[in-house]
Amino acid sequence: MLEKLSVDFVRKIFHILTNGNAKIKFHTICMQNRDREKAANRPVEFGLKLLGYNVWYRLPGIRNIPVGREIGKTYLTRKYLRLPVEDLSSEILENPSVVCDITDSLFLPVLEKKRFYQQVEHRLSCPGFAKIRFGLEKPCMKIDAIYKELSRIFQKQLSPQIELEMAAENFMPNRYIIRLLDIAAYHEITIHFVVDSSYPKEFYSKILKRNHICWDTLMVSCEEKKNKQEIVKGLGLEKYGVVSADFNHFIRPLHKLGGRSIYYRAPMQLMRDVWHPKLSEEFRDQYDAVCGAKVFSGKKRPSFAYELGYLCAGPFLYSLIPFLGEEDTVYYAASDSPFTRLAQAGCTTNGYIKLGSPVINLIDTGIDPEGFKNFVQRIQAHNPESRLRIVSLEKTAGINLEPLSCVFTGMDNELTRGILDFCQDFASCTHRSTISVSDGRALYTWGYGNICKLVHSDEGAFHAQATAV
Amino acid sequence: MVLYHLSTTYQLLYCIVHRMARHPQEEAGLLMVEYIRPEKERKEFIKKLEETGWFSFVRLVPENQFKLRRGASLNESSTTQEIEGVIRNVCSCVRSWLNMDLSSFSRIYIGSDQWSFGIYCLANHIPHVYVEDASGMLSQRERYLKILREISMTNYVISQYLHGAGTSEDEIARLSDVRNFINGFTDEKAENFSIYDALTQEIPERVPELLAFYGAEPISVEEEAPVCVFMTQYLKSMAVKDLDVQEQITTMLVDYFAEGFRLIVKPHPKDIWLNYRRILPRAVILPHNMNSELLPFVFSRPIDRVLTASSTSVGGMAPFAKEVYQFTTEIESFHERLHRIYVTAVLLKRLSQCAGQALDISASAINTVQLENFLRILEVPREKGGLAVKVTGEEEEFRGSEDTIIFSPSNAGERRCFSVTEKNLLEVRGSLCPEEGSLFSPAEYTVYLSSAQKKIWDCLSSLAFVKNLPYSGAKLYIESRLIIWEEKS
Repeated sequence: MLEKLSVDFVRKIFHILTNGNAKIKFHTICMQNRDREKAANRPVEFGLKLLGYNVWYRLPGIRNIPVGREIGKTYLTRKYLRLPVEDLSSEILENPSVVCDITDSLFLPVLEKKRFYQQVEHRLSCPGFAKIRFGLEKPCMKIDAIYKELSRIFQKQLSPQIELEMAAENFMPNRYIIRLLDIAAYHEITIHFVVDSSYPKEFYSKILKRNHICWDTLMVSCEEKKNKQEIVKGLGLEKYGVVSADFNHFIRPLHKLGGRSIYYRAPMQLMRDVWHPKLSEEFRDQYDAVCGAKVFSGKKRPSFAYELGYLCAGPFLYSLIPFLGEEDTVYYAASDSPFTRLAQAGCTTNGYIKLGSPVINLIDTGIDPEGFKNFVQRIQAHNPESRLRIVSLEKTAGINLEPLSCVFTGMDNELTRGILDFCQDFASCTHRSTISVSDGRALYTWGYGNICKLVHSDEGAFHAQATAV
Repeated sequence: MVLYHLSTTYQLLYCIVHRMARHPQEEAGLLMVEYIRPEKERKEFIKKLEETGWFSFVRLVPENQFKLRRGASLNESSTTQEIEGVIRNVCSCVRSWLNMDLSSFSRIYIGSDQWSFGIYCLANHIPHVYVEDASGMLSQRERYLKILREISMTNYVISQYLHGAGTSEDEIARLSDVRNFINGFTDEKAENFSIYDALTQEIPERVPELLAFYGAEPISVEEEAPVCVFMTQYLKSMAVKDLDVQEQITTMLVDYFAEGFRLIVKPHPKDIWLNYRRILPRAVILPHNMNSELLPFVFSRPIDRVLTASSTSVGGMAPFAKEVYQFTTEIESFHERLHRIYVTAVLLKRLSQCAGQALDISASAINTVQLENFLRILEVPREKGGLAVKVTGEEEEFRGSEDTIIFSPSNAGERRCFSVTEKNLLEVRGSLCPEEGSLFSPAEYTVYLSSAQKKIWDCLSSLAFVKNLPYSGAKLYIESRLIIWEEKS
């Protein structure tokens, strides 16, 4: 039936049904990506689904309910399936120029504005700073002018230097969009960066250079005295692509002016669009930012096991480590297990070691109770001068850790990789912020059922899960 | 009249040269899968090909159109009935589109028989000659099927069902570059045909014509600087489909194996996503669309070194290069292990210096191709009957051995805890320290040496140097130290 309709007509209908709003645009593209041949193989079902998305994501109130998207319970990667960047690049290569608005696409913030200003307030030791700074945020006002005003209000000399340094650290470079633009640069597409910001151009050029990003022009609203949309209009481009996470204020108006829209839904937004367990507000913001950027940016297409490791088990193990003590701590875990990298402490199942400390913390990871007993005896025999302090990881956690034994035994699998990646990413992006055990436990509890299912299924099935998207 | 069917740029050159060399007097027809060129380039490309007069007709097989008509897509759990249904639909599409009597061709050559025309011929038991997908690929069936599976599951399922991809009873021969078969592989139906041999021995007079068609300009290579050609790969046919990983592999290989060379990059025709101008700013980047098999005919002199991760096209350059460095496909999945193998090779070199003799190296549970490449590049002296050294990736073997042995763990674990009862060890640690913006992460690669030859310890324990990896944006600090039990406490 489909091949009898004119291609132009089908394209037009498709365009209407996939461009209603940001959610429709994103979710219809994901649906397509999940089964690239669906439109051809089952056109009726595909068409009805498109209609369904158009109805659901337009209904006020209803459209914000994340039906079928729960951390630890749903395989979210499959719901949020973006195109591989090399395939998406064909869209950017259609035109001789591209404009990109940097924030929420090329660089992803760890902390949102309000929380970021709170951190600055803390560093500046200036109570009340965050609220006033937030109020002064205007894209056409330069940072120097803002700080002049702040200095006047707080009756002391304040310099923007600290904020600029912290802002640079607050950005996580998005490898997916960096790659997309790098492909464009290789094909000699002109790249224009525009950004609504009170920070100077040098601030952005520095972080672009640091990430080896090529560009042709860079314009900042505070210097141009107009917003990013008006800056693009002023460029006088005829044929160009628009890469942005800002659907309503950038993609849509520029599309109306002839720009080819390449909508990139912000990874942080994707995390907000799912059900969470009850988490502390501060942790949740950081968690959403890091997990969104690292799992749902499009760079990876992780398996469900990896996703569970990253979103659920990783935060839990991360939350436990500070309670176990870092100095003179030996974990009863395989010496070549991935946990060695995470704990930054000795991991061994071999008790023939001499440590020479007056107090040695021995962490029972629960992987082999009988083996641990012998291990303790051997350690004591080789360290007669030391006092042994035995800590049970499971008792500290207050929840069954058996499904996570692979982390300590050295078995390399997707769950373990997810756990390790979370711990490394979270530590580096948040400057080693801690996670409360209750937050960690809440996430682990939500994913517990599926983690058990995956771990206890036979090995073949576990690996099949590990690769299937 | 003969008929060729193909889907890759390698096969196109292969078939053109084959047609010129082996069927010069006969007419020839050409069918190509439309995906061989991007949509907007197709018309012009066909016109250009027709104008050469090499083929009586050139037709693009409209695979996209067939896809819409073939019915449901297949997967590995599809039933026989479903598979046969799709095959029937494909055959019916091909039959009505083809509109020609295949029995009128004296020989039919089919490259990539997983596409519609190949399916039609296999399903109807039409005798034909199979043409391999890339140089020597017939010998790498497993790798080929893996790529096929990832590119199109439906085609893969049909290919398996019809016993295609170089295993069909209906194949009268399998045209392949036998010289590039992996060691030990044989196929009784293999019929050798090499582009390089044909162009140098059978039809050298046709070379200018071919170069003109591909727009290949002569490349003048100065005599002073040694030249290394780096052959890139198509991301979609690599094990890890991540541009960051591909970039890491590229920079690592160039840093380790092209130091001091003038670098020329030959991108795979479909490798259009990695920005080699940014990654390797001092390198000469050759055009994508020229086949690497033509490179020997454009350089003004033989080149010194060919380097690739695991591209099959290296075979085309091999006869023209003084030395070739290539790796097994393991490098695609575990590229960072290369650092550890480098540390191992450095230790072996030092061991030879300290012992004052060549080494007789044996290896187990370690990638021997990677080790061999580093031993060559570092010029580690080796000879039979020299100082016997075992290199192993197995901890158990290391612990149990009394001979001179190096333990180079295959996984990325951290330092091992060796027990008090064990002998003294030399620990050689490579610390990878990336600069800001590097794609690499900090990592440590530790290898251990155990030997009863006490006289070498002092010399070995002073090993310390830095390997600069400029394109990778990192430095590898290598240092050794003796682990004596008391020191660990």
